[in-house]
Amino acid sequence: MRVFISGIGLVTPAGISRDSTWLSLLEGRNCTREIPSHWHNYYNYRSVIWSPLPDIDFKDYGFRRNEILQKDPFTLICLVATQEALKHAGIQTELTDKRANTYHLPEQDPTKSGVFIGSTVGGGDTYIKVISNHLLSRVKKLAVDTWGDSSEVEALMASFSYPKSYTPFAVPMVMPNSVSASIGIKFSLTGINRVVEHACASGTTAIGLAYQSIQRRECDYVICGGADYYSDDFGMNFRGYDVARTLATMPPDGDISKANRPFDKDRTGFVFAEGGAATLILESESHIEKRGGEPIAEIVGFGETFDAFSIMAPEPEGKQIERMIHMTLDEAGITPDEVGYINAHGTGTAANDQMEADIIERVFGKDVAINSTKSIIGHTIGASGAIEAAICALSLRDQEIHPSLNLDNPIADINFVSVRRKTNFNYTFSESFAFGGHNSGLVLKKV
Amino acid sequence: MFDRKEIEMKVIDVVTETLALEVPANLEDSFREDLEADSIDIVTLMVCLQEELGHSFEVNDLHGKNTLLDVVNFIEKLCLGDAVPA
Repeated sequence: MRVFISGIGLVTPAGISRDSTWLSLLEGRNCTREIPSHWHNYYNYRSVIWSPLPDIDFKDYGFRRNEILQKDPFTLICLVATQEALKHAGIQTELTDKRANTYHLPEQDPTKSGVFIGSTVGGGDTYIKVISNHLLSRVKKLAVDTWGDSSEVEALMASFSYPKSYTPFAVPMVMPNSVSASIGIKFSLTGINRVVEHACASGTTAIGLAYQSIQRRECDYVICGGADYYSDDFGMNFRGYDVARTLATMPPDGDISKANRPFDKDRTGFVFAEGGAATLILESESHIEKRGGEPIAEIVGFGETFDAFSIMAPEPEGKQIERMIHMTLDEAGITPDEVGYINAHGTGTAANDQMEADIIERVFGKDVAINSTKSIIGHTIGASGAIEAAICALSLRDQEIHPSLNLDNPIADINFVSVRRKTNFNYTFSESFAFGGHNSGLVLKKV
Repeated sequence: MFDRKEIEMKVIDVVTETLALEVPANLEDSFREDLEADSIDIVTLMVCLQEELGHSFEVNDLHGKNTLLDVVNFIEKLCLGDAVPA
Protein backbone atom coordinates (compact mmCIF):
# COMPACT_ATOMS: atom_id res chain seq x y z
CA MET A 1 0.00 0.00 0.00
CA ARG A 2 1.63 3.26 -1.13
CA VAL A 3 1.16 6.34 1.09
CA PHE A 4 1.40 9.90 -0.19
CA ILE A 5 1.67 13.31 1.42
CA SER A 6 -0.90 15.57 -0.25
CA GLY A 7 -1.17 18.57 2.07
CA ILE A 8 1.08 20.50 4.45
CA GLY A 9 0.25 23.18 7.01
CA LEU A 10 2.88 24.95 9.11
CA VAL A 11 3.00 27.34 12.06
CA THR A 12 6.63 28.02 13.00
CA PRO A 13 8.82 30.84 14.25
CA ALA A 14 9.65 31.39 10.56
CA GLY A 15 6.02 31.98 9.51
CA ILE A 16 2.36 31.15 9.95
CA SER A 17 1.97 29.16 6.75
CA ARG A 18 3.68 26.53 4.66
CA ASP A 19 4.97 28.97 2.07
CA SER A 20 6.20 31.69 4.45
CA THR A 21 8.06 29.09 6.53
CA TRP A 22 9.60 27.42 3.48
CA LEU A 23 10.72 30.75 1.99
CA SER A 24 12.24 31.88 5.31
CA LEU A 25 14.14 28.61 5.56
CA LEU A 26 15.44 28.80 2.01
CA GLU A 27 16.61 32.35 2.68
CA GLY A 28 18.12 31.35 6.01
CA ARG A 29 16.32 34.04 8.04
CA ASN A 30 17.54 33.64 11.59
CA CYS A 31 14.67 33.50 14.10
CA THR A 32 16.73 33.81 17.30
CA ARG A 33 15.74 36.68 19.62
CA GLU A 34 16.28 37.70 23.25
CA ILE A 35 13.84 36.23 25.78
CA PRO A 36 11.09 38.52 27.16
CA SER A 37 12.65 40.99 29.58
CA HIS A 38 10.11 40.34 32.37
CA TRP A 39 11.20 36.69 32.59
CA HIS A 40 14.40 37.97 34.25
CA ASN A 41 12.25 38.98 37.25
CA TYR A 42 11.86 35.31 38.09
CA TYR A 43 15.23 33.68 37.49
CA ASN A 44 18.81 34.34 36.48
CA TYR A 45 18.82 32.27 33.29
CA ARG A 46 21.98 30.77 31.84
CA SER A 47 20.53 31.19 28.34
CA VAL A 48 18.86 34.48 27.38
CA ILE A 49 17.77 33.63 23.83
CA TRP A 50 14.86 31.85 22.20
CA SER A 51 12.93 31.63 18.97
CA PRO A 52 9.47 33.22 19.31
CA LEU A 53 6.44 32.58 17.12
CA PRO A 54 5.01 35.46 15.08
CA ASP A 55 1.97 37.10 16.73
CA ILE A 56 -1.20 35.16 15.89
CA ASP A 57 -4.77 36.44 16.18
CA PHE A 58 -6.76 33.23 15.98
CA LYS A 59 -9.91 35.13 14.94
CA ASP A 60 -8.10 35.87 11.67
CA TYR A 61 -8.06 32.12 11.06
CA GLY A 62 -11.81 31.69 11.49
CA PHE A 63 -11.94 30.64 15.13
CA ARG A 64 -14.82 31.85 17.28
CA ARG A 65 -14.31 33.39 20.69
CA ASN A 66 -15.69 30.21 22.30
CA GLU A 67 -13.00 28.07 20.71
CA ILE A 68 -10.21 30.43 21.67
CA LEU A 69 -11.41 30.39 25.29
CA GLN A 70 -11.73 26.63 25.39
CA LYS A 71 -8.43 25.62 23.78
CA ASP A 72 -4.77 25.97 24.72
CA PRO A 73 -2.55 27.67 22.12
CA PHE A 74 -0.87 24.33 21.29
CA THR A 75 -4.23 23.05 20.07
CA LEU A 76 -5.11 26.28 18.26
CA ILE A 77 -1.85 26.44 16.30
CA CYS A 78 -2.29 22.81 15.28
CA LEU A 79 -5.80 23.59 14.08
CA VAL A 80 -4.43 26.53 12.06
CA ALA A 81 -1.90 24.16 10.45
CA THR A 82 -4.60 21.54 9.85
CA GLN A 83 -6.90 24.01 8.08
CA GLU A 84 -4.01 24.98 5.81
CA ALA A 85 -3.06 21.37 5.10
CA LEU A 86 -6.64 20.43 4.14
CA LYS A 87 -6.89 23.50 1.92
CA HIS A 88 -3.63 22.75 0.10
CA ALA A 89 -4.67 19.10 -0.30
CA GLY A 90 -7.90 20.28 -1.94
CA ILE A 91 -10.05 18.41 0.58
CA GLN A 92 -13.47 20.05 0.69
CA THR A 93 -14.96 21.08 4.06
CA GLU A 94 -18.60 21.99 4.81
CA LEU A 95 -19.88 23.84 7.88
CA THR A 96 -22.19 21.61 9.92
CA ASP A 97 -22.71 23.59 13.14
CA LYS A 98 -22.35 27.36 13.17
CA ARG A 99 -22.37 27.63 16.97
CA ALA A 100 -19.70 24.97 17.48
CA ASN A 101 -17.93 26.06 14.27
CA THR A 102 -17.51 22.44 13.20
CA TYR A 103 -17.26 20.98 9.72
CA HIS A 104 -17.45 17.69 7.92
CA LEU A 105 -15.53 16.49 4.89
CA PRO A 106 -18.33 15.52 2.51
CA GLU A 107 -16.22 13.45 0.11
CA GLN A 108 -14.52 11.38 2.82
CA ASP A 109 -15.60 8.37 4.89
CA PRO A 110 -15.31 9.70 8.48
CA THR A 111 -14.79 6.19 9.89
CA LYS A 112 -11.66 5.76 7.75
CA SER A 113 -10.27 9.20 8.63
CA GLY A 114 -7.53 9.18 11.26
CA VAL A 115 -5.76 11.77 13.38
CA PHE A 116 -2.26 11.21 14.81
CA ILE A 117 -0.56 14.17 16.51
CA GLY A 118 2.68 14.28 18.49
CA SER A 119 3.12 16.59 21.48
CA THR A 120 5.33 16.75 24.53
CA VAL A 121 3.46 18.55 27.28
CA GLY A 122 -0.01 19.31 25.94
CA GLY A 123 -1.49 22.53 27.30
CA GLY A 124 1.50 23.79 29.24
CA ASP A 125 0.49 27.43 28.93
CA THR A 126 -2.92 26.73 30.47
CA TYR A 127 -1.39 24.57 33.19
CA ILE A 128 0.90 27.37 34.31
CA LYS A 129 -1.94 29.91 34.12
CA VAL A 130 -4.23 27.89 36.40
CA ILE A 131 -1.41 27.10 38.83
CA SER A 132 -0.48 30.77 39.03
CA ASN A 133 -4.10 31.79 39.64
CA HIS A 134 -4.56 29.06 42.25
CA LEU A 135 -1.40 29.96 44.21
CA LEU A 136 -1.21 33.72 43.75
CA SER A 137 -4.86 34.29 44.63
CA ARG A 138 -3.99 32.83 48.04
CA VAL A 139 -0.86 34.99 48.26
CA LYS A 140 -2.94 38.07 47.47
CA LYS A 141 -5.47 37.19 50.19
CA LEU A 142 -2.69 36.71 52.74
CA ALA A 143 -1.08 39.99 51.68
CA VAL A 144 -4.37 41.88 51.99
CA ASP A 145 -5.08 40.22 55.37
CA THR A 146 -1.60 41.19 56.61
CA TRP A 147 -1.02 44.63 55.13
CA GLY A 148 -4.51 45.74 54.17
CA ASP A 149 -6.00 46.39 50.73
CA SER A 150 -3.41 49.05 49.90
CA SER A 151 -2.20 50.34 46.57
CA GLU A 152 1.21 48.79 47.36
CA VAL A 153 -0.33 45.32 47.70
CA GLU A 154 -2.33 45.87 44.52
CA ALA A 155 0.83 46.94 42.62
CA LEU A 156 2.81 44.00 44.00
CA MET A 157 0.22 41.46 42.86
CA ALA A 158 -0.28 43.19 39.50
CA SER A 159 3.43 42.69 38.80
CA PHE A 160 2.82 38.93 38.52
CA SER A 161 0.37 39.32 35.59
CA TYR A 162 -1.45 36.11 36.54
CA PRO A 163 -5.00 35.46 35.32
CA LYS A 164 -7.70 36.80 37.63
CA SER A 165 -9.88 33.73 37.24
CA TYR A 166 -9.34 29.97 37.05
CA THR A 167 -10.62 28.80 33.69
CA PRO A 168 -13.41 26.24 33.97
CA PHE A 169 -11.93 24.60 30.87
CA ALA A 170 -8.61 23.78 32.56
CA VAL A 171 -8.78 20.01 32.18
CA PRO A 172 -9.73 19.82 28.49
CA MET A 173 -7.21 22.55 27.70
CA VAL A 174 -4.31 20.86 29.48
CA MET A 175 -4.78 17.23 28.47
CA PRO A 176 -2.39 16.31 25.63
CA ASN A 177 -5.08 14.46 23.67
CA SER A 178 -7.08 17.69 23.39
CA VAL A 179 -5.14 18.46 20.21
CA SER A 180 -6.11 15.31 18.30
CA ALA A 181 -9.59 15.35 19.82
CA SER A 182 -10.11 18.97 18.74
CA ILE A 183 -9.13 18.12 15.15
CA GLY A 184 -11.47 15.12 15.17
CA ILE A 185 -14.35 17.22 16.54
CA LYS A 186 -13.65 20.20 14.26
CA PHE A 187 -13.83 18.05 11.12
CA SER A 188 -16.18 15.25 12.34
CA LEU A 189 -13.62 12.45 11.92
CA THR A 190 -14.50 9.23 13.71
CA GLY A 191 -11.55 6.98 12.80
CA ILE A 192 -8.45 6.30 14.90
CA ASN A 193 -7.57 9.36 16.99
CA ARG A 194 -4.25 9.35 18.84
CA VAL A 195 -1.66 11.53 20.53
CA VAL A 196 1.96 10.41 20.63
CA GLU A 197 4.13 11.67 23.48
CA HIS A 198 7.72 10.88 22.55
CA ALA A 199 9.25 14.24 23.51
CA CYS A 200 11.39 15.52 20.62
CA ALA A 201 10.56 12.50 18.44
CA SER A 202 6.77 12.92 18.88
CA GLY A 203 6.06 14.45 15.48
CA THR A 204 8.14 11.93 13.54
CA THR A 205 6.63 8.98 15.38
CA ALA A 206 3.08 10.31 14.93
CA ILE A 207 3.60 10.53 11.15
CA GLY A 208 5.14 7.04 11.14
CA LEU A 209 2.19 5.54 13.00
CA ALA A 210 -0.22 7.37 10.69
CA TYR A 211 1.63 5.92 7.68
CA GLN A 212 1.33 2.43 9.18
CA SER A 213 -2.40 2.88 9.84
CA ILE A 214 -2.93 3.50 6.11
CA GLN A 215 -0.71 0.57 5.20
CA ARG A 216 -2.84 -1.63 7.46
CA ARG A 217 -5.98 -0.25 5.72
CA GLU A 218 -7.32 1.07 9.02
CA CYS A 219 -7.53 4.53 7.46
CA ASP A 220 -7.91 5.91 3.91
CA TYR A 221 -6.31 9.16 4.86
CA VAL A 222 -4.87 10.69 8.00
CA ILE A 223 -4.29 14.15 9.44
CA CYS A 224 -0.97 13.82 11.27
CA GLY A 225 1.91 15.87 12.62
CA GLY A 226 3.01 17.54 15.81
CA ALA A 227 2.37 20.58 17.99
CA ASP A 228 3.87 22.15 21.07
CA TYR A 229 3.56 25.58 22.66
CA TYR A 230 5.95 26.48 25.44
CA SER A 231 5.40 30.13 26.21
CA ASP A 232 4.19 31.34 29.58
CA ASP A 233 4.21 34.65 31.44
CA PHE A 234 6.90 33.59 33.90
CA GLY A 235 9.53 31.83 31.75
CA MET A 236 8.77 28.68 33.72
CA ASN A 237 8.87 26.21 30.81
CA PHE A 238 12.04 27.85 29.51
CA ARG A 239 13.67 27.44 32.93
CA GLY A 240 13.12 23.66 32.82
CA TYR A 241 15.39 23.38 29.79
CA ASP A 242 17.75 26.09 31.03
CA VAL A 243 18.51 24.33 34.32
CA ALA A 244 19.13 21.13 32.39
CA ARG A 245 21.92 23.08 30.61
CA THR A 246 20.63 22.09 27.19
CA LEU A 247 20.09 25.59 25.77
CA ALA A 248 22.33 27.69 23.54
CA THR A 249 23.90 30.73 25.15
CA MET A 250 24.64 34.19 23.78
CA PRO A 251 28.02 34.28 21.96
CA PRO A 252 30.79 36.14 23.82
CA ASP A 253 30.66 39.02 21.29
CA GLY A 254 26.89 39.40 21.81
CA ASP A 255 26.03 38.62 18.18
CA ILE A 256 22.69 36.86 18.65
CA SER A 257 22.59 35.78 15.00
CA LYS A 258 25.54 33.46 15.70
CA ALA A 259 24.03 31.69 18.72
CA ASN A 260 22.20 28.92 16.88
CA ARG A 261 24.91 26.71 15.30
CA PRO A 262 24.21 22.95 15.13
CA PHE A 263 27.15 20.82 14.00
CA ASP A 264 29.61 23.69 14.52
CA LYS A 265 32.57 23.37 16.90
CA ASP A 266 31.43 26.46 18.84
CA ARG A 267 27.86 25.25 19.43
CA THR A 268 26.56 25.64 22.99
CA GLY A 269 23.14 24.00 22.94
CA PHE A 270 19.78 24.31 21.21
CA VAL A 271 17.69 27.44 20.77
CA PHE A 272 14.36 26.95 22.51
CA ALA A 273 11.38 27.79 20.30
CA GLU A 274 8.18 29.28 21.66
CA GLY A 275 6.23 26.65 19.79
CA GLY A 276 5.24 25.27 16.45
CA ALA A 277 2.87 22.99 14.60
CA ALA A 278 2.99 20.97 11.42
CA THR A 279 0.14 19.01 9.92
CA LEU A 280 0.49 16.64 6.99
CA ILE A 281 -2.32 14.97 5.06
CA LEU A 282 -1.42 11.36 4.24
CA GLU A 283 -3.47 9.37 1.77
CA SER A 284 -3.50 5.89 0.33
CA GLU A 285 -2.73 5.62 -3.36
CA SER A 286 -6.30 4.61 -4.20
CA HIS A 287 -7.77 7.44 -2.13
CA ILE A 288 -5.68 10.18 -3.68
CA GLU A 289 -6.28 8.81 -7.19
CA LYS A 290 -10.02 8.54 -6.65
CA ARG A 291 -10.40 12.15 -5.60
CA GLY A 292 -7.83 13.51 -8.06
CA GLY A 293 -5.44 14.84 -5.41
CA GLU A 294 -1.87 15.93 -6.15
CA PRO A 295 0.86 14.15 -4.18
CA ILE A 296 3.77 16.21 -2.85
CA ALA A 297 5.94 13.27 -1.83
CA GLU A 298 5.64 9.61 -0.88
CA ILE A 299 6.45 8.06 2.49
CA VAL A 300 8.26 4.77 1.93
CA GLY A 301 9.82 3.93 5.28
CA PHE A 302 9.41 4.36 9.02
CA GLY A 303 11.37 2.91 11.90
CA GLU A 304 11.65 3.43 15.64
CA THR A 305 13.89 2.10 18.38
CA PHE A 306 14.55 2.85 22.03
CA ASP A 307 17.93 3.44 23.72
CA ALA A 308 17.14 1.94 27.17
CA PHE A 309 20.09 3.99 28.42
CA SER A 310 19.28 7.38 30.02
CA ILE A 311 16.21 9.56 30.49
CA MET A 312 18.14 12.70 29.43
CA ALA A 313 21.16 11.68 27.37
CA PRO A 314 21.54 9.78 24.11
CA GLU A 315 23.49 6.54 24.23
CA PRO A 316 26.95 7.83 23.14
CA GLU A 317 27.61 5.24 20.42
CA GLY A 318 24.09 5.61 19.00
CA LYS A 319 23.65 1.87 18.48
CA GLN A 320 19.86 2.04 18.63
CA ILE A 321 19.79 5.10 16.37
CA GLU A 322 21.87 3.22 13.82
CA ARG A 323 19.53 0.23 14.10
CA MET A 324 16.56 2.56 13.59
CA ILE A 325 18.15 4.01 10.44
CA HIS A 326 18.81 0.56 8.96
CA MET A 327 15.29 -0.57 9.87
CA THR A 328 13.79 2.45 8.11
CA LEU A 329 15.97 2.07 5.01
CA ASP A 330 15.14 -1.65 4.83
CA GLU A 331 11.45 -0.88 4.90
CA ALA A 332 11.97 1.67 2.13
CA GLY A 333 13.86 -0.98 0.17
CA ILE A 334 16.82 1.31 -0.48
CA THR A 335 20.50 1.40 0.37
CA PRO A 336 22.12 4.29 2.28
CA ASP A 337 23.79 5.68 -0.84
CA GLU A 338 20.38 6.27 -2.45
CA VAL A 339 19.52 8.90 0.17
CA GLY A 340 20.39 12.32 -1.25
CA TYR A 341 19.48 14.52 1.71
CA ILE A 342 19.23 14.05 5.49
CA ASN A 343 17.25 16.51 7.59
CA ALA A 344 19.19 15.86 10.78
CA HIS A 345 17.92 16.02 14.34
CA GLY A 346 20.72 18.60 14.58
CA THR A 347 19.92 20.33 17.86
CA GLY A 348 23.20 22.08 18.60
CA THR A 349 23.94 20.22 21.84
CA ALA A 350 27.42 18.80 22.35
CA ALA A 351 26.21 15.23 22.85
CA ASN A 352 23.67 15.03 20.03
CA ASP A 353 25.59 16.60 17.19
CA GLN A 354 28.83 14.67 17.53
CA MET A 355 27.04 11.35 17.90
CA GLU A 356 24.68 12.14 15.00
CA ALA A 357 27.50 13.28 12.69
CA ASP A 358 29.46 10.11 13.48
CA ILE A 359 26.45 7.89 12.73
CA ILE A 360 25.69 9.70 9.47
CA GLU A 361 29.27 9.28 8.28
CA ARG A 362 29.32 5.63 9.36
CA VAL A 363 26.00 4.71 7.70
CA PHE A 364 25.66 7.11 4.77
CA GLY A 365 29.24 8.15 4.02
CA LYS A 366 30.48 11.64 3.19
CA ASP A 367 28.36 12.57 0.17
CA VAL A 368 24.79 12.85 1.44
CA ALA A 369 23.62 16.48 1.92
CA ILE A 370 22.82 17.33 5.57
CA ASN A 371 21.14 20.29 7.20
CA SER A 372 19.38 21.23 10.43
CA THR A 373 16.02 23.02 10.25
CA LYS A 374 16.49 23.78 13.96
CA SER A 375 19.47 25.97 13.04
CA ILE A 376 16.95 28.52 11.73
CA ILE A 377 13.69 28.11 13.64
CA GLY A 378 15.03 26.67 16.88
CA HIS A 379 13.80 23.50 18.56
CA THR A 380 10.01 23.15 18.57
CA ILE A 381 10.28 19.95 20.65
CA GLY A 382 7.20 17.79 19.95
CA ALA A 383 6.47 19.58 16.68
CA SER A 384 10.04 19.43 15.36
CA GLY A 385 9.92 16.02 13.69
CA ALA A 386 6.69 16.87 11.89
CA ILE A 387 8.01 20.24 10.73
CA GLU A 388 11.18 18.56 9.47
CA ALA A 389 9.23 15.84 7.62
CA ALA A 390 7.22 18.63 5.96
CA ILE A 391 10.45 20.38 4.99
CA CYS A 392 11.77 17.11 3.52
CA ALA A 393 8.62 16.85 1.37
CA LEU A 394 8.98 20.44 0.15
CA SER A 395 12.70 19.86 -0.53
CA LEU A 396 11.84 16.82 -2.67
CA ARG A 397 9.12 18.78 -4.49
CA ASP A 398 11.39 21.73 -5.28
CA GLN A 399 14.68 19.76 -5.44
CA GLU A 400 16.17 22.37 -3.16
CA ILE A 401 17.76 22.24 0.32
CA HIS A 402 17.72 25.10 2.81
CA PRO A 403 20.99 26.19 4.47
CA SER A 404 22.10 25.15 7.93
CA LEU A 405 23.16 28.34 9.71
CA ASN A 406 26.48 29.23 11.30
CA LEU A 407 28.48 26.23 10.14
CA ASP A 408 31.78 28.12 10.33
CA ASN A 409 33.80 25.20 11.71
CA PRO A 410 31.91 21.94 11.11
CA ILE A 411 32.57 19.12 13.57
CA ALA A 412 32.92 16.55 10.79
CA ASP A 413 34.13 16.40 7.22
CA ILE A 414 30.75 15.51 5.75
CA ASN A 415 28.46 17.24 3.26
CA PHE A 416 26.76 19.93 5.38
CA VAL A 417 24.62 22.41 3.42
CA SER A 418 25.67 25.87 4.57
CA VAL A 419 24.32 27.72 1.51
CA ARG A 420 20.91 27.21 -0.15
CA ARG A 421 21.40 24.45 -2.68
CA LYS A 422 19.58 23.29 -5.82
CA THR A 423 20.26 19.62 -6.44
CA ASN A 424 18.78 16.37 -7.72
CA PHE A 425 17.77 13.66 -5.29
CA ASN A 426 15.08 11.01 -4.97
CA TYR A 427 15.07 10.14 -1.27
CA THR A 428 15.32 12.08 2.01
CA PHE A 429 15.78 10.81 5.54
CA SER A 430 14.32 12.72 8.49
CA GLU A 431 15.45 11.60 11.94
CA SER A 432 14.48 12.54 15.49
CA PHE A 433 15.86 11.53 18.89
CA ALA A 434 14.20 12.29 22.21
CA PHE A 435 14.59 12.66 25.95
CA GLY A 436 13.68 9.24 27.29
CA GLY A 437 15.57 7.44 24.51
CA HIS A 438 13.05 7.34 21.65
CA ASN A 439 14.51 7.32 18.14
CA SER A 440 12.44 7.48 14.96
CA GLY A 441 12.99 8.12 11.27
CA LEU A 442 11.12 8.51 8.00
CA VAL A 443 12.20 8.00 4.40
CA LEU A 444 10.40 10.17 1.86
CA LYS A 445 10.54 9.68 -1.91
CA LYS A 446 10.17 12.10 -4.79
CA VAL A 447 6.98 11.70 -6.83
CA MET B 1 -18.16 50.44 36.90
CA PHE B 2 -21.03 49.89 34.49
CA ASP B 3 -24.58 51.21 34.71
CA ARG B 4 -27.58 48.98 34.10
CA LYS B 5 -27.98 49.95 30.46
CA GLU B 6 -24.34 49.15 29.73
CA ILE B 7 -24.64 45.81 31.51
CA GLU B 8 -27.74 44.93 29.47
CA MET B 9 -25.94 45.73 26.24
CA LYS B 10 -22.85 43.72 27.25
CA VAL B 11 -24.95 40.68 28.20
CA ILE B 12 -26.95 40.82 24.95
CA ASP B 13 -23.78 41.22 22.86
CA VAL B 14 -21.93 38.40 24.62
CA VAL B 15 -24.88 36.00 24.42
CA THR B 16 -25.44 36.82 20.75
CA GLU B 17 -21.76 36.28 19.96
CA THR B 18 -21.23 33.21 22.13
CA LEU B 19 -24.30 31.39 20.83
CA ALA B 20 -23.76 32.54 17.22
CA LEU B 21 -27.31 33.93 17.01
CA GLU B 22 -28.60 35.34 13.73
CA VAL B 23 -30.46 38.15 15.52
CA PRO B 24 -29.61 39.75 18.89
CA ALA B 25 -30.90 37.95 21.97
CA ASN B 26 -33.72 39.46 24.05
CA LEU B 27 -33.44 40.09 27.77
CA GLU B 28 -36.48 37.86 28.36
CA ASP B 29 -34.97 34.88 26.47
CA SER B 30 -34.27 31.81 28.56
CA PHE B 31 -30.89 30.22 27.95
CA ARG B 32 -32.03 26.63 27.71
CA GLU B 33 -35.54 26.81 26.19
CA ASP B 34 -35.33 29.84 23.88
CA LEU B 35 -31.64 29.85 23.00
CA GLU B 36 -30.95 26.09 23.29
CA ALA B 37 -27.75 26.69 25.24
CA ASP B 38 -26.11 23.72 26.92
CA SER B 39 -24.05 23.78 30.12
CA ILE B 40 -20.77 24.35 28.25
CA ASP B 41 -22.31 27.31 26.41
CA ILE B 42 -23.35 28.82 29.73
CA VAL B 43 -19.91 28.36 31.27
CA THR B 44 -18.36 29.96 28.17
CA LEU B 45 -20.80 32.83 28.50
CA MET B 46 -19.70 33.31 32.10
CA VAL B 47 -16.02 33.48 31.10
CA CYS B 48 -16.81 36.02 28.36
CA LEU B 49 -18.75 38.20 30.80
CA GLN B 50 -15.82 38.10 33.22
CA GLU B 51 -13.59 39.38 30.42
CA GLU B 52 -16.02 42.08 29.34
CA LEU B 53 -16.92 43.36 32.78
CA GLY B 54 -13.66 42.83 34.64
CA HIS B 55 -15.46 41.04 37.48
CA SER B 56 -14.45 37.65 38.75
CA PHE B 57 -17.21 35.23 39.66
CA GLU B 58 -17.45 31.47 39.85
CA VAL B 59 -19.25 29.10 37.50
CA ASN B 60 -21.74 28.32 40.27
CA ASP B 61 -22.71 32.00 40.51
CA LEU B 62 -24.67 31.71 37.26
CA HIS B 63 -26.58 28.59 38.31
CA GLY B 64 -30.27 29.31 38.60
CA LYS B 65 -30.04 32.29 36.27
CA ASN B 66 -32.54 31.25 33.60
CA THR B 67 -32.81 34.38 31.48
CA LEU B 68 -30.56 37.19 30.32
CA LEU B 69 -32.46 39.46 32.70
CA ASP B 70 -31.51 37.22 35.66
CA VAL B 71 -27.85 37.61 34.66
CA VAL B 72 -28.17 41.39 34.25
CA ASN B 73 -29.70 41.63 37.72
CA PHE B 74 -26.91 39.52 39.21
CA ILE B 75 -24.15 41.55 37.56
CA GLU B 76 -25.76 44.84 38.54
CA LYS B 77 -25.76 43.70 42.17
CA LEU B 78 -22.16 42.55 41.76
CA CYS B 79 -21.19 46.01 40.52
CA LEU B 80 -22.93 47.54 43.51
CA GLY B 81 -21.22 45.06 45.86
CA ASP B 82 -24.54 43.46 46.90
CA ALA B 83 -24.33 40.12 45.09
CA VAL B 84 -24.14 36.99 47.18
CA PRO B 85 -21.72 34.47 45.72
CA ALA B 86 -23.09 30.96 45.27
